[in-house]
Amino acid sequence: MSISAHLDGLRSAVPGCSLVAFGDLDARLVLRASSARPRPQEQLDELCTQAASLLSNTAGETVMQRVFGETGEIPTEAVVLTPDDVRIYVRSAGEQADVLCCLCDSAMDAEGAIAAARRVLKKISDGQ
Amino acid sequence: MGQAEMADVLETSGGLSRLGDLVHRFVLAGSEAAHDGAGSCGGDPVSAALRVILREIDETVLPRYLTVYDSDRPLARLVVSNRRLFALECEGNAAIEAPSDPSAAARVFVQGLRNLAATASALRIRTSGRASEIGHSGVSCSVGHLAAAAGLSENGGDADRLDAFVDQVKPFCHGWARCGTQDNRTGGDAELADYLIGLSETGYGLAKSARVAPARPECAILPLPEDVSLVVAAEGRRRLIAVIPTETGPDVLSVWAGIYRSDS
Repeated sequence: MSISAHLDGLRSAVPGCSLVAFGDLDARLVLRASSARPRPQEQLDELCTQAASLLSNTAGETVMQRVFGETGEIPTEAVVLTPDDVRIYVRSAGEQADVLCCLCDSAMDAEGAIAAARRVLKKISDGQ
Repeated sequence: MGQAEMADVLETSGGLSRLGDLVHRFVLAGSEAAHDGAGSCGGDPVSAALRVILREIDETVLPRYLTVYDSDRPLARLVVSNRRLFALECEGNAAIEAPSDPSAAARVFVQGLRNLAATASALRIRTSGRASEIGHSGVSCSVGHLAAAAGLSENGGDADRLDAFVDQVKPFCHGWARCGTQDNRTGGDAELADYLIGLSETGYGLAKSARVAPARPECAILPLPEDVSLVVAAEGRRRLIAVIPTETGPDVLSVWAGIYRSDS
């Protein structure tokens, strides 16, 4: 199954989800996206940049260890509320480079979207 | 993708993530709590409308005309640039002449804006074009100056909302730091608050490529070990970074939604 098919499936499966993007946190680059309508590259870049700002280890190790625990591990998922939308970011646990970004219209969809994105990301990372 | 595969995508084997569970409880808490939060920071209707106008000014960087409507009826046109108010032109009247003294100008502008806020029963603001002339007198007022003249806030319209958010969520926090201004404020565990300031100074949660502060307010919540969550809320240049017990996450999200999501 192609990455695009996985993204299309995720977007269709999550109510209120208008965009799903698969990106690389290290490169801060969206590699594939599924959207009901064309999206400007700037919006995709912004999503990936925000994901990297939250889920990449951009801060110093000591600060990360103090704040995020003894292991210094950073979170693997984040929910960002804005006045207009809800953004859900899920990072792969292993490589820490793959990320899925879901743009939803309501926090009502967040619970299912997080779980679904986690499963789809694993499939993509496993090459399924 | 077929129905079976869609169901497979949505299946939650292994249980929901902690953040998912948190959001789930937030959703269960529902909009009722959100509305309660909105009510607690709104103040009187005229002040609330005035805050809306000030917020629009604060989010306008390029030279623009902002038209204030009561429903569909235009009431006035504001000339705004670089987050500052340069002129106020009320419908059917000559443009308000602002004195050259900034404090006096702020008072005159605020009086005009208050009249608008009191007149409009359904206030709306729309950008109505690029401002070709930025005031004749050269006098302009920042949102902070206008807010102070209106008695709304010492720091400005956006600070008013973020500070309202801070005030309401700090009882939940293990530690918190409000950064991005010259007067950083902290609370809770002092050592943790220091680390949070350090985290803020690394630019955590901010896009490094961003040349200007994000125009839209945002609130990120991230699960951490030991059943705590990190909250990163930003509006303009001001930020709140806090560590909260994960179980209080729904309350924090409800407060944020009550203050900010009522915009949309």
